[in-house]
Amino acid sequence: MTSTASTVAAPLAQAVGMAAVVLGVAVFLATRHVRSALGVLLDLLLAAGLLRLGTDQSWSAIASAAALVVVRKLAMSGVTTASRSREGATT
Amino acid sequence: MVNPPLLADFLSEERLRSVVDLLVRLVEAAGALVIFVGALIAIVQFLRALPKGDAHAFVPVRLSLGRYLALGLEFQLASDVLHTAIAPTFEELGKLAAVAAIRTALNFFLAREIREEQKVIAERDQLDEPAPAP
Repeated sequence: MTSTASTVAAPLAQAVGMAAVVLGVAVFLATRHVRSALGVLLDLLLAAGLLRLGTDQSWSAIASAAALVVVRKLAMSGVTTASRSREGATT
Repeated sequence: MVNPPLLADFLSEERLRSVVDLLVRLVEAAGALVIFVGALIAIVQFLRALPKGDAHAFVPVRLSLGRYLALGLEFQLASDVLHTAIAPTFEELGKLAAVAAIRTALNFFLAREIREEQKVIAERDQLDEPAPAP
């Protein structure tokens, strides 16, 4: 992307990332549901990561985007498995 | 009849490179715009669902954000494909391949998650429907 686009997109990515953290915490406090809070946090962080990847294609940005994809997948499957096994134990 | 030297001059490598570069930027910007607008809409909808305190109220919002992210990713993948036409060094091609792989994997996982969430919502809607009178 051009430097003008980068100067516009980088703060937007940062704002979405901050909103992800704030909303993730707020959703957890409002619902006490880890899966929903984690979903909100990781989906918005993913949006921020994709915005950042469009502006900065250094190896470190690529590695952090790849790490985010792996963490997102692992965290969501971990929480889903845990909640399913809890549901199975209660029924 | 088009004069071949004139055509070669018109389709010079430099001109082609600048045209493709412009297209790459346009398509990449469209992808970024779709992702940002999707995130903005999702943030507003998350804030509106927050007072309900119901965990299920966030699922449709996440589903809609997932659709925006998948659409943005399609644009970004299109720009990656376009970029291969003008990427000159192995370093740039390597980065491009890595970014395209990340975006393709994400697109795959997002599509699967959207399908799964849609199934969960459909099942919940079926359970919520009152049983038909005998």
